[in-house]
Amino acid sequence: MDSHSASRKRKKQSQAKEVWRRLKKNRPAVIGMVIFLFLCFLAVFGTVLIPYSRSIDQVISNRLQAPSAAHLFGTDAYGRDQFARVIHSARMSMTLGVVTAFAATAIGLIIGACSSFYGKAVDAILMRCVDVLASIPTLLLALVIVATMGASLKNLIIAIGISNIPGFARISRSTMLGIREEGYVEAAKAYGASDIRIMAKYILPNAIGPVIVQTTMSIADMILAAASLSYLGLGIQPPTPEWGGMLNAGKEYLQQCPYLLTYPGLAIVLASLSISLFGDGLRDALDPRLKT
Amino acid sequence: MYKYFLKRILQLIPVLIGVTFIIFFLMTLSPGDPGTAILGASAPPEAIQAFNQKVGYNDPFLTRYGRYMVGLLKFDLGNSYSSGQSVSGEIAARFPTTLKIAAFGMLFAVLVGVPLGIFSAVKQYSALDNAARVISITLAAIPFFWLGLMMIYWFSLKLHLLPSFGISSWKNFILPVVSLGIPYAARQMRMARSCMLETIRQDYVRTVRAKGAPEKVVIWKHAFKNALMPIITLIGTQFGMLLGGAIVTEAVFSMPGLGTYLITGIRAKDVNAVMGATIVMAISFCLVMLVVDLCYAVIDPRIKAKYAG
Repeated sequence: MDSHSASRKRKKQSQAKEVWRRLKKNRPAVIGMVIFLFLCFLAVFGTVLIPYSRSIDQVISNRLQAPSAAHLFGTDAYGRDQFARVIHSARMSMTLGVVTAFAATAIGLIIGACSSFYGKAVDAILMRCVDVLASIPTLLLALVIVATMGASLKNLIIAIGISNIPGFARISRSTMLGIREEGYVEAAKAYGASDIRIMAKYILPNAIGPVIVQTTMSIADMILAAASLSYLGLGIQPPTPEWGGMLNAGKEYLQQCPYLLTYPGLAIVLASLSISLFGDGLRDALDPRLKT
Repeated sequence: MYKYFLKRILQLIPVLIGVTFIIFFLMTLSPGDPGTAILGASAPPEAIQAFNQKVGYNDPFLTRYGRYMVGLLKFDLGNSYSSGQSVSGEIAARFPTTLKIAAFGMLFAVLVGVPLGIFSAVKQYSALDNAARVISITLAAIPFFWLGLMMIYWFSLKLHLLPSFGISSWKNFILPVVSLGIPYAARQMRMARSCMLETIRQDYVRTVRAKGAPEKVVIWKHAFKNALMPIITLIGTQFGMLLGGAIVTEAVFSMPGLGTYLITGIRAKDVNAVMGATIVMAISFCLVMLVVDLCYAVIDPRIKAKYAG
């Protein structure tokens, strides 16, 4: 028993190592990963590096100053330092992107697993529900949910999460359908493993690859969706700094102070681009056959 | 093939019922009632109660949903809580603007993205392919509404080339359509490139080459046709994103479309207006997906064969 579990552990390690080795060789993916980790670092420690008060305290005498050494990205209409606000925005956007992506993945995986494992009526009912949910444009559905529940970080996560579930449910189902027929699943069934054990222990680990890639990629879409909602005034509410909200506040000063819009926008591009690069690399590393 | 068409159209009915049900359900969860919204919070409570009774707000949920659906079939979406105007009239006046932005945005994305993607795939690893890949992954990461704001700054405020708001002429649509279309063109390009690369490596393409067919015939007649399916699927799903995106684009360019109607409705807690606008957008997305499905039948001989006779 001991030697069996040890050998399995070694196998698992070597597979993760293999993926990591392939990922390391992909320079754009590494750059993307480093930037993404840096943004996560800012999300956690941003307020330690720069005091949060610089994002919030209004200094009217300082209002609408062009970028300078004291205020790298200038100041907004309330005299708040834009550099501090762009840094502190990472907390909202990155939390939202990562938490929403993992929550939607988890629910999608459960739906996909039940649908593919039980088949027949369960599959039909779950997939018709997913079809209906997918028939409403994502941003529109998120917008309606936020409009009904009110704008807050929690409600944004729920709204964007729900509208992204169909994609995850479909990809988990289609990957797991192939695995259900594998010999080792049949073997587990034969020795009387429970349904949940089969799904969690044998099907899930073998189906997780494509789903993880989708999760990674979707973080970027979710950050963009959250920024769109905040831009419409239906996301994170001021004075909490958030990139989309900053664009909304800055648009009135587009002519005189374009820098109010340039930097928050570039921050969104950086976040989204780093995730795409990393996700692309991860897909190639997990399945080298797909490499194009 | 008409059997396939019929099947697809019939399948649309439960989906439409489900979609309208979800939206209706969500909207009933939102706080506020029509009496308070129309008569004002300072109106006597009895009057508000009487009004709610009259419009049937106190009826059970399913009764109200049924009544709404019957109205929907007659293109009657009720009256706006804030203006008292007919919602369907407002939507009919505003929807063409939204549709134009989304449809021309899609057209732009396809016309720019697909040929570039195919070109990139055919000349894989050339300098042009590398440049196109770097540019496309960057452009796909740009939030389209920020791109719109930056374009307003450069093309309207600095260079005075194009108008930045309104819908008075076709010029007003250039910036919205291009800013919305660019990130999706980049995605189309990436998709077209990877599909084309996959197809080019297939055995039958090698066979065609071996037979001595000219490269143009190999690419356009044999490879392109087979790479088309996933591209069309992407066009369909992207149309939904573009409809959602048009809401934000309209806000950026101050265009009186369905999106601005929806946003104003949300701010004014005008449930009927929000519901009407949302349902119309969702239904049009379903119809586009239907068209995509019907296109499969025309393109894919396997579907044609399955439903032959």
